[in-house]
Amino acid sequence: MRGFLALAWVELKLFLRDAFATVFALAFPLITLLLLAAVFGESDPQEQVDGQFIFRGAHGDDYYVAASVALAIAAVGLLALPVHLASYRGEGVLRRFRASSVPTWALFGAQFVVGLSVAAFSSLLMTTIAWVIYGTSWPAAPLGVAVAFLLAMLCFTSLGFLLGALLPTARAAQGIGLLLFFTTYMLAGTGPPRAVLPSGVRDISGIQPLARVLIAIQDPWFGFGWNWQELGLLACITIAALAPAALLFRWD
Amino acid sequence: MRTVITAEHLHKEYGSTVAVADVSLEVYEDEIFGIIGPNGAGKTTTVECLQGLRTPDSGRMRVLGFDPVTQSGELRKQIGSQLQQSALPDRIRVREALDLFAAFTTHPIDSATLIEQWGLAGRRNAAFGDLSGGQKQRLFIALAFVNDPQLVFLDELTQGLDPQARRATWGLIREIRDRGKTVVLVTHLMEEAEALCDRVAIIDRGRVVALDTPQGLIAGLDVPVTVHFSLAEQELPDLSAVAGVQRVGRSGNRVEVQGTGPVLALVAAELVAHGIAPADLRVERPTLEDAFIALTSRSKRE
Repeated sequence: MRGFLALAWVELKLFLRDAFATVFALAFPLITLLLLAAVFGESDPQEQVDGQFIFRGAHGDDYYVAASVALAIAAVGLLALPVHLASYRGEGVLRRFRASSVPTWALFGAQFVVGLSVAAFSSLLMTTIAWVIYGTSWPAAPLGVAVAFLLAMLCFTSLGFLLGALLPTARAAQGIGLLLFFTTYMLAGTGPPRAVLPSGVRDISGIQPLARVLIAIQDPWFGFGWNWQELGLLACITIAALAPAALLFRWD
Repeated sequence: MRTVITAEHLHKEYGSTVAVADVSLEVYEDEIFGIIGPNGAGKTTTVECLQGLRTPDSGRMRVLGFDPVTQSGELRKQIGSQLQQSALPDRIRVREALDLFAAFTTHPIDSATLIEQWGLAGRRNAAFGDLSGGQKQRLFIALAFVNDPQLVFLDELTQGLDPQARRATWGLIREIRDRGKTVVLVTHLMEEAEALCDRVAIIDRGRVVALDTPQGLIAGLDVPVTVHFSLAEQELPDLSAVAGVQRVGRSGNRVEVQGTGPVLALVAAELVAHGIAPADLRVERPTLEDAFIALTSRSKRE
């Protein structure tokens, strides 16, 4: 336990000393939020396409505040974490850890703590900035949003471990991570709302974990109540990703 | 003498490459045991198997009473490891690294003590990426001792160290042995093995070709010692009659006498008896390097 806490603290400090990770987890979601909230802030919440609300019945700018929180979580899980693990493996840091009896759970746990802290800070910052500039609303059910946020972090940290276990090098992790991140950004409703996607694409896009995360966070945020079905789904994805990640994880 | 490590018929292949063909050895308590061999001989793979970092394809091992394959977790808590290829995050600081690894052990050695002992006091707040090669190496050695282990594995101990730091490191490793710890040292530096090791195993192409004290390995060679001196004008007395002398050679004013046994003392006495006292009389003994080259080239021919 002492080792886990020490590792989490060191990893957090290392994350903050790393410019690339900080930029992606903090700056990218913030910039897209500022742009999209400015463009769609005046939209009518009741506006529909194909019989569906475009912004799920919320104001466009509120929609994108919640979406940028989901985006921060995805950036940590799909970009920062796999690249971090793969470069640790490539450089021989993981060999050093294993020789010093660092258990797998401590390594995973420390990364989770770092990702959670960074995404939580990023989300709080973005929500505050959007509130100051655009007067966007705070979550209607803060606890519901917090629980959805925590489960979403668990889910994407597990996916990050799985990618980190499967992708052999930091270059591969960076390439595949960016591809996955931008594809899911465009298709999960975090970029264009899923309602405006062509109907076939819209149906398939629902299977993306980020699409589930978005709904799980937006529902309590907009006052639609806790979405137990989405929370359950996120828990299932977490287990489905974490089990093979732990089995396939290689230290060198 | 208690046996700390037993390895019997270790065998390990990577794909179609045989890294370790057949290695058996025993390491005793309180000794510095050297493993030397040419590049790619299987030294690192052997010690990685013994540390539970790799699983051999076949063979039996016992390290500190543990099976490194099935009890690697328990074993690693008791041993210290300095790996040949490993790294730390570039932005971690020296002090942070030592404290971090100390947090994973039950009875850690204080990081301030290790920083002092391994000459890192001036760099305690430096980032790993900013350290010189020698400083990185000393940090890795310090990390191997952070859990106060009974047994340490040091793979290419003095890689990247300058001559002064190398000698200082040898001194510290001897001190550690004298405090009752066992050291397994992998090296390709014959000078280091000869200066430091109590016993040495020479591994070549995945097999132990010799295992003895460095002196034993050298003596086993039957290579004669050579006495050198120079002689300006004087007549050279007949040295071939001296006991043990096998060959006398002279080129210009340089004389070379080869022989076995106490040939240096006998040659010197003979010279003095003839009123000759060369100032540059010196003896060249076979070194571990000679033994190493003889043994590894012999195994190549077979």
